[in-house]
Amino acid sequence: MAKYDSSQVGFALLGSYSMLGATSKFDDAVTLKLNETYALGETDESFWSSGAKQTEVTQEGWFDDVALGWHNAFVDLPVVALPMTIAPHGNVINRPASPAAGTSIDIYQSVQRVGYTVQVATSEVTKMQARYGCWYGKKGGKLVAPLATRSTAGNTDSDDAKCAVAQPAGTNGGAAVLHITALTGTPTNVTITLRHSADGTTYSDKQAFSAFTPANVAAGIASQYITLTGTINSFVSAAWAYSGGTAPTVTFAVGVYVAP
Amino acid sequence: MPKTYRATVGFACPADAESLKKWKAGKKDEAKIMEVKKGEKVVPYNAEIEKSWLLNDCVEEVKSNG
Repeated sequence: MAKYDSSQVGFALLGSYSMLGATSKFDDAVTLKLNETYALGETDESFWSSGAKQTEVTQEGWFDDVALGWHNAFVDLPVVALPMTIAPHGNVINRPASPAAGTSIDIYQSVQRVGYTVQVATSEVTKMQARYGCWYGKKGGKLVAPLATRSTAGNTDSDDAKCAVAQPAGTNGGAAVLHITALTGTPTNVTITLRHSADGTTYSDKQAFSAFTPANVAAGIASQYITLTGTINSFVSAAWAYSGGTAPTVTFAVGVYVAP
Repeated sequence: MPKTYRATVGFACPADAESLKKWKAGKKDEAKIMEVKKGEKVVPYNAEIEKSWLLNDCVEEVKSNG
């Protein structure tokens, strides 16, 4: 089984914010919620599960205070909930190469910043403890488009990114997540679309994310989690297109979750 | 005579037979790509790409009344 250490974490994004720091401890606890089912007279406890899961996340470490960094993400505890995505296996597609099932990522649909404690602040860095409120359980997804900067309108079809070994990846829908961390030049907005393919040759639009503006990115909220329905094919890609302006570039990552 | 199709979703694929050959050979950066918008009419340039369009459920045949 392939092993991945801390240095291989590709990205950790909350909205448009990067949560990678100089040092960091990340705790992620997923609990299956159980209900008691034993009755009077029984000798052993027994439980029943509805399948509902609860996710709790905390992080502690040293962070700098760059724009769209952790300190800025938490300092005022904004009430807006954002998607969060972590790529513990790296910012590359199809890792490991075999089985060709794509690069695993962790997707948190809707995360609120609920706790922030500054422990030490020096001239360059801040040590803090952050606590997250997760509205929904963590989902195991696949990386569609690595976090990278792209210029003119295009797509990642030629990357051959996969989200499953079998075709189709699933027929019960799922979800897709987008994080935009930079949008430069003078575009009015950028629209990113999830694509999929059964054969890796023809990629059809599965679903478009909302259009995001440079102001959305500056505010840290250029990010979206969308629900998908129906079939998701095993090859996945992302396409991007700008509206207005000149010399645009966009830095983004896309992930997909295929419902079982 | 090749059939005419209408795109039921936006899609992209290699733009011609030569590009499809390069795409299949792994020379994807050398292949020209065609972007088709939803609702546009398209005619397949060979049977292989037609099969790919149908497999990906992104076209429907345009039938004439005559």
